[in-house]
Amino acid sequence: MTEVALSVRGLSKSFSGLKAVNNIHFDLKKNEIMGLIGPNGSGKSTTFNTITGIIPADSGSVKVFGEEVMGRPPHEISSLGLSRTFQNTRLWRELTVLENLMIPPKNQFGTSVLNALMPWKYKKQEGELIEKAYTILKLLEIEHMAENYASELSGGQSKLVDIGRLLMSDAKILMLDEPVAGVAGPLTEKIFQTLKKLRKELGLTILIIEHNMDFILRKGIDHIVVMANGEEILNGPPDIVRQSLDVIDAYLGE
Amino acid sequence: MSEGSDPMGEDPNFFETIGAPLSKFVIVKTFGAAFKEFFSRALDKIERKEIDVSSPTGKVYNYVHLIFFVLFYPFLLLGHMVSGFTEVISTETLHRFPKGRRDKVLQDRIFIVGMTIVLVLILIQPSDPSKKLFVISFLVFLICYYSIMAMGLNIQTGATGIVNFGVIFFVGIGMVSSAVLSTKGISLFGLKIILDPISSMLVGMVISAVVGYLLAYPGLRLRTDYFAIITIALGEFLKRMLLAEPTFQTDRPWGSSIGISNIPAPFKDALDNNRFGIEYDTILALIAIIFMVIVLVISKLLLRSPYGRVLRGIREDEQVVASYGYDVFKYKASVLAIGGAIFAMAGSMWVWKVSSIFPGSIAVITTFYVWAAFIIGGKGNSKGMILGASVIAITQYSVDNLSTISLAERPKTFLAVLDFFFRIIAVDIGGAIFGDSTWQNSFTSREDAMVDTSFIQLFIVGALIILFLRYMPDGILPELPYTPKSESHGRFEDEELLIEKMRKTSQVYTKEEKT
Repeated sequence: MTEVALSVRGLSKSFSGLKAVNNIHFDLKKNEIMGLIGPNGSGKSTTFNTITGIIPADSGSVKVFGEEVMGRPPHEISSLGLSRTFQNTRLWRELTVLENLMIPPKNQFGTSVLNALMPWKYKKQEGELIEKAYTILKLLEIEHMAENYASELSGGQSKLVDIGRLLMSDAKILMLDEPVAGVAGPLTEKIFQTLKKLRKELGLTILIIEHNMDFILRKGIDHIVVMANGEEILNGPPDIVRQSLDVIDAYLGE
Repeated sequence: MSEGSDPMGEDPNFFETIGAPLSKFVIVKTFGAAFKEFFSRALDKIERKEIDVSSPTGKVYNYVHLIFFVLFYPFLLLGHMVSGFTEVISTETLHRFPKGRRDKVLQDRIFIVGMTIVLVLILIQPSDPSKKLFVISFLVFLICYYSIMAMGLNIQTGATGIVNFGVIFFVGIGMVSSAVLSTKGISLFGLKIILDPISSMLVGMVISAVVGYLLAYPGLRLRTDYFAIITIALGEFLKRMLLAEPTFQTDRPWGSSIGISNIPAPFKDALDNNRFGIEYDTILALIAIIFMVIVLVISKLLLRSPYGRVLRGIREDEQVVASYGYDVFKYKASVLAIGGAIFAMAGSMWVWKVSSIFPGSIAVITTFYVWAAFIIGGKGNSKGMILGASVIAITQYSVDNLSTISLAERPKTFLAVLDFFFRIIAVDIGGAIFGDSTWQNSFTSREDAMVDTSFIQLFIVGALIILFLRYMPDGILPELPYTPKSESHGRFEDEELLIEKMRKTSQVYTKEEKT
């Protein structure tokens, strides 16, 4: 039995009567890539927001590496080793791309007031992080934009920087909200290959929201949860989802 | 000047090849020699008591002291000026600095040129010759005073995005702590504690920092604009509180709240009676410069560090910062504390300068002058704060000068022009529209109507804020982007190496965590 990284039990959230998320259950095993799919307005992003504490959930239980995180503030949940991206790419716009990548790394010495006054204390670590940031930028093919402001990037490039921030964060669980919407095809492939490789080499656990179902079925994902209208309608490996695709198609009316 | 990539480099102009280094050499050499000469001679003569420090010659040496001690830095950098001017003015600037005013080299040059203009403006302020030194040291002090406050505001509003309209509240805490602790003292456990000025200032800074930190608890749970409204109220609140404060009242039964006077300032006793031929104002200007440099260095270190980076992240989108594991509340509270301490420092300096404090010293308008300096200087740029503060300080001083012009002198100055327009626009037209008089009555000449000069200051500062927000919203010196050079630039070709790198760094962190 492999260890469970993220366990969600009976998660519910309603906005003034509208049940955005209704009684969701799933287990994300360690070292697994899971897809969360569903049509528009099916509650995927709200699920993300309630798990990460951005929006307080009404009821249910969320455990990160066995630790209950319901009702805790986002930064505490994140310190357990969980990082996420947002659907509408929220970069720090008046910061350079490089700076955007330099905030996420955890355990930076220079982020306390006293150490900030002593540059020699964080200089070595800063140098290492800059190298790492440039490597990630190179991988995402936006190295030439490193010194530009994030507000100068195109939509697709912004998505890439967002993924870059996630990779910089040393998190054990990565939660990506539509990571490749607006990114060119070959680069999408490359990003997925990298994510899979990182998962294998570094033991990461990855949860991806994706809108396009065909797309996610082709990417070799271990486990899929299908949501519609806030409900969880299917939970299983891609084969099962593929088999019941007809049912889903009928349900979605596609 | 710029590195090899400059296509204009093939046809360098005069200033780049010979002019700049030559002028730098000549100016530095000349001023250096003059400095050495004057300094040694003056000291010799004063020691041998050949110079009476109150005589005109002694006063000249006083100026020389001031110029070379207080203002030596700009002169040393004059060598940059020639090339600086050509850079700022020339049409090739945009080509050479694609990032515009967000380029460090160009910013340094604008700063030097700006400070030189400020220096000239300080030196040409009209005054009685015997008061020249006083005027210069007052202006230098005023610039430092506003710079320190603007730098505090820059950390809070420029970097972190906390809108603080309560600058004068924290300044007031510094003023009151400094004044009370160094004169009347406080009673603690039956002990009467009276501190020296510097310690009083430090205690005031600590108090202000603690107040700032505690203010975060009720304040930061509100939205930005509501927090701003709270802070506006705080300054007025402190002022009203002081009106009823027993410490601020005379011992006589009919005493109303008049404040505290004869507040000691650092080194004032030691240097009293003009012993070394140096007025205390000059010393205080020097102290102000030292404090300003300390605050400048600290704020630069803070804003350039990973800490400052997190602050700027909070300014842009605090929810995302939180979702990467940073406690946004703690960061904002720490910023309120740091800013509070800096404001309190400025407050203590003001108390030393005027050596008295009364409830009216807590003038809410100061907050808006600091905001004007912040907007003009450029948000997020500590050096820009000095330029912005200079603009405000010189405006304030010049207009104060105007209001001291006597009625007999008034028609000879340019105030007469202002009076003329004031009569037409405000008195005649305004009177016709809003007054009871008939049209015939309105447009008769009213030679006795005059502009109240105290409003000109507000008018100029307000106009500057509008102009800058409209045409230069980044300020004179905008925030610099973060552009460190990478050693690995191009060394890591593929994800294999990335994985290796990531594993290494995460090992480093887990190791550091354990130790």
